[in-house]
Amino acid sequence: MSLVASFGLARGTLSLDVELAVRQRETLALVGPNGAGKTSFLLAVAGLLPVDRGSIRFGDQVLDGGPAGAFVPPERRGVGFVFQDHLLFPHLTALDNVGFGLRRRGLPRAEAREAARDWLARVGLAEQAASLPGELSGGQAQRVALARALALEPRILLLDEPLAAVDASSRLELRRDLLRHLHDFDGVRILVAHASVDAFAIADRIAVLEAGRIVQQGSVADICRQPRTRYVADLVGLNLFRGDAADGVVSVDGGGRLLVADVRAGPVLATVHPRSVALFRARPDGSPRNVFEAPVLALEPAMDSLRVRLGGPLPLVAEITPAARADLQLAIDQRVWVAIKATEITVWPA
Amino acid sequence: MTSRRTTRSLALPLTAGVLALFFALPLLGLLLRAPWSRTGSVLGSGPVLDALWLSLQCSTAAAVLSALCGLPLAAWLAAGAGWQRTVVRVLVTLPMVLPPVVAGVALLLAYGRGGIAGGQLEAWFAFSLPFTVPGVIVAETYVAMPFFVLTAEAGLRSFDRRYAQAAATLGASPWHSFWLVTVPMIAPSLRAGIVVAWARALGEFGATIMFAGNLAGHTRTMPLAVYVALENDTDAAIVLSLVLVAVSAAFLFLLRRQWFPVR
Repeated sequence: MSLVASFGLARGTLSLDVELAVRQRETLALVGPNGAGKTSFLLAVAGLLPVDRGSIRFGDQVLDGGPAGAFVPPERRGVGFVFQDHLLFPHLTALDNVGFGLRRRGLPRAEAREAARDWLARVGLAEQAASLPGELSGGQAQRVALARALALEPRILLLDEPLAAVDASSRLELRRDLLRHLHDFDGVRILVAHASVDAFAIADRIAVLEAGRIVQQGSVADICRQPRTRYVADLVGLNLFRGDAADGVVSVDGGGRLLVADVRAGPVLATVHPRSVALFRARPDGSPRNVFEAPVLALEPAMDSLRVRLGGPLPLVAEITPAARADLQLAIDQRVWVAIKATEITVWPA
Repeated sequence: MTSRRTTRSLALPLTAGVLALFFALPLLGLLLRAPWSRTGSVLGSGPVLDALWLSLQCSTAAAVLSALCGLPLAAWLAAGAGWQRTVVRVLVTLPMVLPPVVAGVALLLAYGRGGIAGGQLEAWFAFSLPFTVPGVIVAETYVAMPFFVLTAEAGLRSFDRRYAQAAATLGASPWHSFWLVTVPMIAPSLRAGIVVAWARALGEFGATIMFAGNLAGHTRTMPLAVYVALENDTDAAIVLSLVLVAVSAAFLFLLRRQWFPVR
């Protein structure tokens, strides 16, 4: 059984047009910039936003067949939804939040409570059963929301930026637990993630949504190796250029040329890892085939390195060590010499 | 500069002080003129207790009716926009701005004997509203319900509908979602709406006297009793007024959380 979503819908300025299939026991991460339609996609799958055309199917069942077709209302879809800000009912205790769906399913109060208690224990919150949502931390609320969705044993589990409303200190632990719960869950899992680390750590497959369209999908490794848009390249931390190749030269769209060790011709994508971009105070001698001058636009400290954002016809990010920064005496607006070896540039057909 | 700033900084507290006096003096008048020695005998008399009891019953009934009928109406009003809703909202709001006496006359022409609907009511059920206790309740509901509807609608409009969506994904039908999630979450608005409607019904005078009359021991509510007493026994009118003040103040106290932000 798999979820096959092939639909279009328009809401306000957003026009969503997607084709996506997710298999059982697969975790798909939907990533993309703000306003790309990620949450709308989840809402459509949950039945909270009807589609304008196309359909959403699960196995043989049509969940939403468009305006003229079948429509299974959200309360009968068997779709679990963990909302970004959790949306725990503020007037109910953590226990009753988790038991809410079980009660709606007709379970007597005592049984619902017992099952809910069990689920709270599974997410490590047995102690917080009597707490109101207002008394829970972001991480605890997230766990309650997850337990509330999983307690109904849905066929499809949707998570909207599950780690966004969680403070950094509990993030790592929460991500590990989430991974474990997702692994135990037998249905289809779709997760919207803004921060790439979460997506890459949790997902089996990644789909990139930009301006309402899926621009790329594939395994985490595929996406990291071959980003197809600037957004994805930024996401995985690579420099990406689109252009036309001929005779070992890529003429980059928007100006600039890159000499590459590749004989391909025609439209191509070229990526350069920021660590392969070398910076110099004076024009370097030697073998690098691509040498040019560029202004420093910004300096962004990363974990144990410094990311240097460069302007000019080829906007690039270079990653250098703090020591190199001191040697180069880098400052914003200063011009530096940039060198990239042709062999460090990966080229593949666009 | 300094002097102007001083003037400006004094202007607001001064205005507030004068207005506080404006509102406090009438209360003070009641308290100072109250015939404390006669209080017991006035309150203990049958007609006063009758009027008080009738007032409490009818205003409570009107508040309950306002809530029961007003909640679905508010839910419909809050669920969208469009000219139909605008028309209904104007109709429902009208009694708030209408002089109550006019409301009473209008009620009489609609639901009185020989009124548009009143004639049919009498012909079919041999039942007539004017000058009866149900008539008092209808008059009070007519002027009180708008307060509930508007408060409840405001509460519903500020309700984050995504909570209802969350309830739906947990298997709750729209009906369950409304009663188990929406209503508890907007309870403060609903409570405030009921109390305002109740207070409005308790003080209702004009519509009541026109539609239900002023029959001692039958349709004479507290405000009517105060009015009657003022004509021949000022002391009794003051005592009755104080009772109404006390009852209203008690409810204001109960609602303090909603209306006076706690620091």
